[in-house]
Amino acid sequence: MPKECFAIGKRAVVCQDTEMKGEIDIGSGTVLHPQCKILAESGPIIIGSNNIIEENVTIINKYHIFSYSTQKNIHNIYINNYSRQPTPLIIGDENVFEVGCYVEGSKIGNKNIIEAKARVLGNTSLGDNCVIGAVCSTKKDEAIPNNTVIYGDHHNRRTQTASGGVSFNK
Amino acid sequence: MSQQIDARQRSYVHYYCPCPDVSKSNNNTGEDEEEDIVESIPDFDVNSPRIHFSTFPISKLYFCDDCHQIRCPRCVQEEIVCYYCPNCLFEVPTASVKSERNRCARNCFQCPICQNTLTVVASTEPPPPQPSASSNSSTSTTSGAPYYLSCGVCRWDSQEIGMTFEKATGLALQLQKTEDERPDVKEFDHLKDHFEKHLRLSAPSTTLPSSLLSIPGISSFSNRYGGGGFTHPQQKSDDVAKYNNTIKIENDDNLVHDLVQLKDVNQITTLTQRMNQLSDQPYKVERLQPQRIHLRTKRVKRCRSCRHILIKPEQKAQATRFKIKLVALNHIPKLTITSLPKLFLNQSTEIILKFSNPLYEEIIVDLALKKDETTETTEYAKIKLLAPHFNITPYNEVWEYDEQDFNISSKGRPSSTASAPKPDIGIYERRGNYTSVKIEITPLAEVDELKFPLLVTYANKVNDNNDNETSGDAPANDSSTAAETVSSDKPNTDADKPNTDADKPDTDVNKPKTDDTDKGESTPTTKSLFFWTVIGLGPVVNPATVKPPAPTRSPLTNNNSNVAPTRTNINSGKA
Amino acid sequence: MEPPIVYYPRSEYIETDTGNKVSRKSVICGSQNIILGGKTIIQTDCVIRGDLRRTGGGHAVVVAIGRYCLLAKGSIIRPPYKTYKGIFSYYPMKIGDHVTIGEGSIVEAATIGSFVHIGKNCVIGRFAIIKDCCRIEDNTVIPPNTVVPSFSIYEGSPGMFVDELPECVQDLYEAKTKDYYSKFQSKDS
Repeated sequence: MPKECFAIGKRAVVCQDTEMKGEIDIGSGTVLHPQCKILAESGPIIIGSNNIIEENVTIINKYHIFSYSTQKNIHNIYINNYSRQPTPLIIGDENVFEVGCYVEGSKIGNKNIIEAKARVLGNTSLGDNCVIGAVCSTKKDEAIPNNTVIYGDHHNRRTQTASGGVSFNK
Repeated sequence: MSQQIDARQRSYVHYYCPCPDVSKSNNNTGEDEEEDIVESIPDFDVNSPRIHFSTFPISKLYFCDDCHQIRCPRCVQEEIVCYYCPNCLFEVPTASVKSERNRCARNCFQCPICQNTLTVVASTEPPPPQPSASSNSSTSTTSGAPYYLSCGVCRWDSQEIGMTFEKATGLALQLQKTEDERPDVKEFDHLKDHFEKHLRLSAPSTTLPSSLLSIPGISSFSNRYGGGGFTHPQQKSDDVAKYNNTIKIENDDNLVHDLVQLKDVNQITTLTQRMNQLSDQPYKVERLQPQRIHLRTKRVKRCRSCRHILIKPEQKAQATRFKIKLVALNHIPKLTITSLPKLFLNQSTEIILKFSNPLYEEIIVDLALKKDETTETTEYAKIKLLAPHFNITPYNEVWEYDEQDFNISSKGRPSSTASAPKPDIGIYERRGNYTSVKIEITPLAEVDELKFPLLVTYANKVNDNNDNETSGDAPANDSSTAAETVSSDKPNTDADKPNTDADKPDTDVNKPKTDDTDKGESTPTTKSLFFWTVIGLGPVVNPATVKPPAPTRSPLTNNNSNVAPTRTNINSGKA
Repeated sequence: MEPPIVYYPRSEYIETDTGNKVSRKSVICGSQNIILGGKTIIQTDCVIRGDLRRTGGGHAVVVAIGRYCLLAKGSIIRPPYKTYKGIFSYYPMKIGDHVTIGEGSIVEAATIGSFVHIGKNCVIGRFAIIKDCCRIEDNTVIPPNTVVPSFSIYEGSPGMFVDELPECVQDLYEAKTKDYYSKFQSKDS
């Protein structure tokens, strides 16, 4: 059972009706709207400063990081060794997690926008300035480079010219 | 459970419009026509392959109150009354629609990548992009700054193709110059100049509506084919001087080479993207341009046989009201399936059909599966109408504003105002302006969709004066000429279409008979109308092949009619 | 197919004087800034953010919802925000009469007209304007700042015009919402 431990920075706002579990570190100026869930199940979740996390967002550090090794045992049979390591999910600064999105992931950079009902799956890591469009999802366990935009019915991708980014001050 | 929801969604009541079959009956030999007139009601085959093109949900249908006929979207004529941009909702005057090439001439553009609407964004400082200009930011942060178009979905922006604007308004105008430079536009202008000389010579015949006259070539077309243009000593269209094209578009030889080199599918345009840029249909993503948004129209709809207006919207682009609105929903009884238990092979099931009366007069309804037949056995099912004759009390606006409660206490109210409810066989419920009847169905074959035809004949008791008033409503808006043409057209249509107007007297003859069987009521004038419907009930399940046959059945039927038990109790209590 | 009567446990919903039925399991923030027109149903797990209001003091209506509306299970109503002249602010939202918002849909529109049907799991982007008499099919994403003109059916992601609605849609949706309200009944259990 992971320990319950919240560290919340200055100027951060955590509304009531949020569900938080495990070891969570929230940077300054980050806003958590009601009904969002931050679940640090397998390891800590470290959230940077000035992020916005809207309603019904789920950010979860799931049991998905395994170290994997194969060795022979004394009977010369291969044995697979899985061991769970509590790796943290690190989220950078100035990201927006819009209503109802679902983020597993291993690392989120800065200035990303995860739009409404979007999903970041598995062990995926996000660079900076990415947009995961509404109702879009990443594949499992991929590394998404900076400035990637995922949009539309078929989860198309393109690279945006680096003019994006959001500003907010609440 | 999910299966059952599926079945519910797949059930429907569609109304048949005979318009596609009118021509068929016209082409028939004289003998057949005779027969048609005698039989008056055309046959209707639910298994016809064309069924999907001639049956519609009631919401899509119109009702011509001059022909007393259902009109479907395929048998109305449309005339454009107003053009507007669907994005900025500006009304575009008809005169400038053509010169603006049927697209918005303001600020509305479509994203070349994802076809979303673009927004105008001000860039604060072009070289180092500042985060203060957010993707959906306002247009006027700093004055004098260059503006660009930005897409909120795929984050494309027009700076990528070097497109910026000096002002935030009238962007299309600023692009006008580059658009006029396009080779296809130039060539078209040349072509138009070339043929215009010739077109001017052929005098326009005035048989066409003025809205079509503005299309070059239409007038000469009608001259040649309609107005007997060959008889006039005019210059024949073949005499046009030879046209030499002025612009040649070079074939891009490098294109094939470049395409061979492609490694990333995102570097090539999709079919949709190319089709949205018809002028050059580029393969390279960099050559895609934002396109101005197509205009939309508001249209008047007319009955094809009598030219009466069925739909007349208000001129203003943003108005949602109609000056004339003759929709079927307000004129013919509406059928709804209210209870549809799951259909099992060889098990007789009762479904409940609700008939609502939109009219202010009481109507008498006769149902039949075929002509005068209330039971029918096909290879798919045995169907029995338990209540082939019934009446529906008129629609009363007061009820609309009343609390519509389904509580037992308020139950008696409508029936007390209506004629005293008799314990009719097969009548499930009578309330307000509707009557629900039972139909017994025994599926005989396992099919994906069980459907059956239902002929609805209804007569409403109207005074003659009243009738004149209602039908006189529509021509008031139309010109008097329209009314004249109607009267002169009448005999023609009668002869042409035995199954439209001609049947009216016929069914009127039948009328007293149905009255007798129903109640024996007779009013001085009744008008009787009929229409075919097709009722789809979803799939038939064979209980033998379904995994848990008996156990699932009883909870399902219970579930699905969690309305029904209470109501049937009420009914029986009343009886 | 006619919809059946929907029963809810009497204790779950609060009924107001004007006939609004609001689930106790919904999250209504800043209720002093929310207006319900009457006979509107707000179902379980809905979120309405009336607390996200324009910066600066004073009482303001943030979310105005008309009569005979239905916010189905899990739908989220959230006023739109933008940064205008460097100031981040929320802006009010208005929803007309006879509007149905399907299960799990997220609405951040500026205006939704009357006689509008929004399907299940839709996302209506910030400052979208949906005019009267429209239909948004299930799973549609209406991008920010989009205008949906009257009598349109929109579908897809991004939402595109796919068809026109028939002229009688106003009567249809009015009847549908009234019917739903009258069949949404409490039951002691």
